[in-house]
Amino acid sequence: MPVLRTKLHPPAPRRRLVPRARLTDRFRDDVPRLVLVSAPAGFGKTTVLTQWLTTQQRAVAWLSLDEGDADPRRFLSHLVAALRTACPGLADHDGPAPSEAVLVGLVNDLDVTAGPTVIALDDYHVIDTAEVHDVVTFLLGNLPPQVTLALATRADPPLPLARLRARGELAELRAADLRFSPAEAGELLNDVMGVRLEPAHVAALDARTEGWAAGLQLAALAARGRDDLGEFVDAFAGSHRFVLDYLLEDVLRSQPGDVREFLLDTAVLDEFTAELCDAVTGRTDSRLMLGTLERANLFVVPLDERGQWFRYHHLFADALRAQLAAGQPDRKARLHRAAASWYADHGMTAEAVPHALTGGDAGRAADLVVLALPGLQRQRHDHLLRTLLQALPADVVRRSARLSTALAWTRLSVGDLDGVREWLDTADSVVSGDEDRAMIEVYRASVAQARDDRSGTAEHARRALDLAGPDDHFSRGAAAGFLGLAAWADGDLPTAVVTFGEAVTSLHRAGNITDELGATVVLGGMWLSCGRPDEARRLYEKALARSAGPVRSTTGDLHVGLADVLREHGELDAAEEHLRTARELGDAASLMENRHRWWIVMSGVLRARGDLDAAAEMLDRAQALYLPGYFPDVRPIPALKARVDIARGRLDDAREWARERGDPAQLTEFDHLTLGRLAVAEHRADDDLLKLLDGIVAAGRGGSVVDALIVRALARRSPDDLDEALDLGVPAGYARIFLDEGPPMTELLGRLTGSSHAAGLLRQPVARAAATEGLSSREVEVLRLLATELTGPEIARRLFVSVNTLRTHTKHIFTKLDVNTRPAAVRRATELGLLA
Amino acid sequence: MKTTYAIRVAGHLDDHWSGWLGGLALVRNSDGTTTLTAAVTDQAQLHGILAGLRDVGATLLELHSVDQGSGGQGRSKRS
Repeated sequence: MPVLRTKLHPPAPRRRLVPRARLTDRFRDDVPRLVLVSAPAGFGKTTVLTQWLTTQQRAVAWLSLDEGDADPRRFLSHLVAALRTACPGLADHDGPAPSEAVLVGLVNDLDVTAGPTVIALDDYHVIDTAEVHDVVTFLLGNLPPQVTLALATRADPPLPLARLRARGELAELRAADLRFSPAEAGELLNDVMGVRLEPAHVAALDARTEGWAAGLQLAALAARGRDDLGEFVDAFAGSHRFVLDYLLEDVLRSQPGDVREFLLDTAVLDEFTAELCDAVTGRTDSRLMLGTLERANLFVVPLDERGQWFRYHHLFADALRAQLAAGQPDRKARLHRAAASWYADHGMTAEAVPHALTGGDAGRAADLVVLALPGLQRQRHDHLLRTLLQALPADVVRRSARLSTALAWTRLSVGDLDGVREWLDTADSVVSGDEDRAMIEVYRASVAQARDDRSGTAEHARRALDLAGPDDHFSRGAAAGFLGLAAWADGDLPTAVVTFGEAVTSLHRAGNITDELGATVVLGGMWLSCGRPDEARRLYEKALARSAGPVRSTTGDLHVGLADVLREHGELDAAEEHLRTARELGDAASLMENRHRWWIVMSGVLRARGDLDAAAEMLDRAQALYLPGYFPDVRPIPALKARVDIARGRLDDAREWARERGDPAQLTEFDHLTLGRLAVAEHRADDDLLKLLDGIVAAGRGGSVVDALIVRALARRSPDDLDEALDLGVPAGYARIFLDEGPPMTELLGRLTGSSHAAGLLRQPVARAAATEGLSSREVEVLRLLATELTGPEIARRLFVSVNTLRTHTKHIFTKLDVNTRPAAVRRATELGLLA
Repeated sequence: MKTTYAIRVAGHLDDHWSGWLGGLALVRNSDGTTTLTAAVTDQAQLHGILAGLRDVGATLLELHSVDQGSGGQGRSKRS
């Protein structure tokens, strides 16, 4: 599809432009924070913006906005795509919504990766959502100084313009500035468009059009090739008619009949190729025609470098469409239906559906979506599917069980559970065929799961399994998946891994590799719960080997899963390598419900390296991305954070967490074991705690058993308990779960002189504070980097932390070394031998 | 309850814009302006019409409500 690629290119003019140095020189050297080009349609905003950009030695991140970009998530992902064309080093920044954490990350990253850059947002007036304005406002306030924002818009945006103006950070080009002066009009009419007009005629046209660029260009087209120029100018100047109407009629009249018909026919298309024009007009020579139009300057805008895709200038297209709609509504409908067919034949359902709808054929639109459904679901094109379903009239959706079921799914993804149920009821009322019934039950199971209704989940999933045929692998896979997840949530791990393993096999048979790999991520998590990091590692490695080839929407999640296991093994460099790979693959390789995991694993790596503050910060970022309801929350982020707080001695924060826990019956084993650690840290490990720990050990859920034995060993300071944990955990691949406990654990391990497991663990680096001057090992690492030539942002990037965190580190280092500058810190550290 | 607005723009607009802008009554005045009359259900619809005029480059001269009914509050807003 040409859509995204063409959005990221500033239009490249094929003809000579009238130089407008009087405008572009105004802020050529002194570039403000915001360049605002604000004027009505047809004033040449985009052109002057591209002219200004050519005066700048700056990278350009260009984004032509359309109505869809009012969706904040889509806006941000397009903005990041545009920025990545300008600064290739930029990582992918995305989230379920552009949260402050995501934007801070983006700005910090730009601080480091971007050279002098202009972010140019064209057609900003199409944005009508406060969320997107908030994002842009944030950027205006926080972009690094070398990055400038430029907006072209038909209406002043609701941004803090007055504040920027007062600070001298705003440069504006408005309609009055953009109006062509008589001299510029002369250059456009005579030199560029090749009309021979006397100065008096130029002045008259400039006055009548009020220097409006589109009007002047139309006037040139209308005047071209006439011998009665004086009469033409006088008649136009003496008319009251709207400039656009008067001139467009003149221009169309002066064209041969077939050109005129071609323009009216193809104006229904937002973007077009010669082939598409052929299909819509019934002609066979559209390529020649487009060449003619381009040479005649008839408002054709090329959209790609290969000269395949075009569009008309918006103003011109609107005027043509208004004429067509008023004069020949039947013809308009027929043209739209022809466009729908062409797009459908070329597999471009997203474009076909709106044309079918505008062509008055909602039934066809619905059929197109039904046909596209399996592919869209298999490839997880969730956003597109949602857009298409929302475009269909509700009564048409209601007539189709498949569409109603799919619409129910879109409600599920925004958490509207009542909406899901209503649409599933609708689907039930029109369904025929067990395959569709099975699918409805699958979604009912989803709702039950989201409502935390475990028995309901299992019941619907079982019904789906009964209804699904032996070859209906998708429903079978999904239903087995729910049963597996329900067993996991119930703590029945043996059933969970077997059933969920069947789900993975069904998805494999369904040819749904993306979901198969996605389910493998979950299955790996189950094996971790079972206390088998080794088995999880085997699964991840096998799946990654299978995922070779195109990057899938779950490839990154597999890397993150593997990184987590490697971290547990203590192979921290390898873990970081996989995290880096996942980051480079970007959001396209990660499902939304998994995005938080990257930060959790990074937190674990940082904790293992002894940087507890950064580990805590990573957990905050994980929390911002966490989407509840997808998987049993067996390792809640707040509990992880409490564990870090306990480790860094912030017991008040951990107590705060403990107070906020509600009903003890709702607590996971992980929560209980976190509370247990808090009790040990507060020296109040009592019989109740020991009884609870014994209960967890007896329940026999592998991962928790190892964890409970560790807490018991710490509570009783008992090497024997530890010995048991080691025998169970180390062969299964555990290491960090022991070592992250720090000095009390190393002391216990040291006492187990006969244990080869203990000796093996003690050979690994243990998280502990550096002895010298009370600097942590992370701070020493920062100090070493401060001694290099690297800039602050470069150091932050190397350490995978934000500039803010780096600032905190340096502040601590300065305090501990009793200095207040970087060179002084390096000097002092050298004296103390810390950099040796 | 619909509210009716009169919108005056510069120049004489052709009839085909009436349908394009959602079926407005369109009167060309002798002073070279055009008055469009729109019955809208809410402000969002009014803003949609204004955006449509903006997008074809029409110059807005005046906007006021022409409702006869109750109350005089905010009956007329001239620019």
